[in-house]
Amino acid sequence: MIVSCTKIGDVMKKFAFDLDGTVTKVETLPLLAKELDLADEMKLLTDLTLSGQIPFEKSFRLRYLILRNIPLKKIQEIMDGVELDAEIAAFIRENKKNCAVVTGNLDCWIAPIIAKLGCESFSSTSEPDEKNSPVLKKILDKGSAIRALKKISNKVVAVGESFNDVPMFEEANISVAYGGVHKPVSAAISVSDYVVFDGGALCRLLKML
Amino acid sequence: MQAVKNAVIAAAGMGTRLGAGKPKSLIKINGKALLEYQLSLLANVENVFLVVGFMEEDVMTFASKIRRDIIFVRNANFQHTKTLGSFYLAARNINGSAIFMDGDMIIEPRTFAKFLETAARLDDNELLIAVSKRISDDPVYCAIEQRGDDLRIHGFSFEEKSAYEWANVVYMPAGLMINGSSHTFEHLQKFLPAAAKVIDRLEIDTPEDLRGAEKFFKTNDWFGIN
Repeated sequence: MIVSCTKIGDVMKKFAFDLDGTVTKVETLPLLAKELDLADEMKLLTDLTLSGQIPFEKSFRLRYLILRNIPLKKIQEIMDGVELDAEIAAFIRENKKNCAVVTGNLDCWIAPIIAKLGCESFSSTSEPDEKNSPVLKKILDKGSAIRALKKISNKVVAVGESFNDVPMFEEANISVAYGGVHKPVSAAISVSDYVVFDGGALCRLLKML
Repeated sequence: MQAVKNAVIAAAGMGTRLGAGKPKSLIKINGKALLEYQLSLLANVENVFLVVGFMEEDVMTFASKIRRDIIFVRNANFQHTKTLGSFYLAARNINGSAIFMDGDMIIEPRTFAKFLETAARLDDNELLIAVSKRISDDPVYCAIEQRGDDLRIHGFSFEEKSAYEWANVVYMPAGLMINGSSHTFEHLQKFLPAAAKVIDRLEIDTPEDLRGAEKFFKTNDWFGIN
């Protein structure tokens, strides 16, 4: 028996990355909330969401309603300065066609990060109102993003760490819980195939899959 | 010569015979966990895969503090699989060869270093099977042929006595691992004869083994810690 090893250049293979706390070195919404002097409150809400104590959809709607008071331009400026995991970002840039960011975060907020990575993205969506302020349209179900990727790929590898990555892990062919920023939540570990804590090890593993 | 690039440690089991109420890999001997001894042997191996099962989060938390870049492979079915099943879970995505080692022993570093050196000199499709001087109560004997310094293994057996036993360590192409419920040595039987190398080791299966190991290290300084 031969273990198959598909080249990364194979467009049939797709790597789906969670954004906050996986590609980014921090959770971005608490960072944005600093602008409103609500960082601690936002962190509390975010932590409860990561661990699955409050449902992502309700929590994101609430966090959106708070953060929409910050001008979009300011949000994008902050997002542009968010530190990325260097090794993961390099991996995505080198394998743009095989990579996608799958995040519940809002399309226009994360745009500067996606532009830097150069890959496709699945996110919650918005429409601009008359003042060019984003109006939340649809919150992403991460499982549906993986189902969409599976239509064009025979091997989808998902990388994430929090409770809302569970549906993504359940749909993906291979799941990797990544603890580079914080320990993956137990729920995500329990449906994963691999667990790694180091960006370099993660990229070496992804190249093998 | 290509240095050994991949190593797989099977540490998913419950270690019931030891009855310590925690995973065997976390049991301390002379102040150091069993897993620390194993990881110290693999410092120069690029990819270390640790197969976890029983109390996996405890093992991962501990192990990632010792070596941050371990790749943990989850064996969710650990209660119903043997070591071979754990090896396969890691092997299925490894390209090339890997060292596969059972996590329930302490290996003497100098003999292990020689094993690594010999493994690095092999051709791509060759195996190197580790044997040791008999230490187990229920050994799997190895039929060994010696030519100068080179050993070749021709068979495994419970009955045919020999001075050597199967040491639960093998270097082989990962693609040859299978998902089976047999013992690892039964699977390896298919690839014999193969090159063999002696390693010294202590097995930690029972409370007596544990006490024996602590006593052993009072007079034998394998790790330069005394």
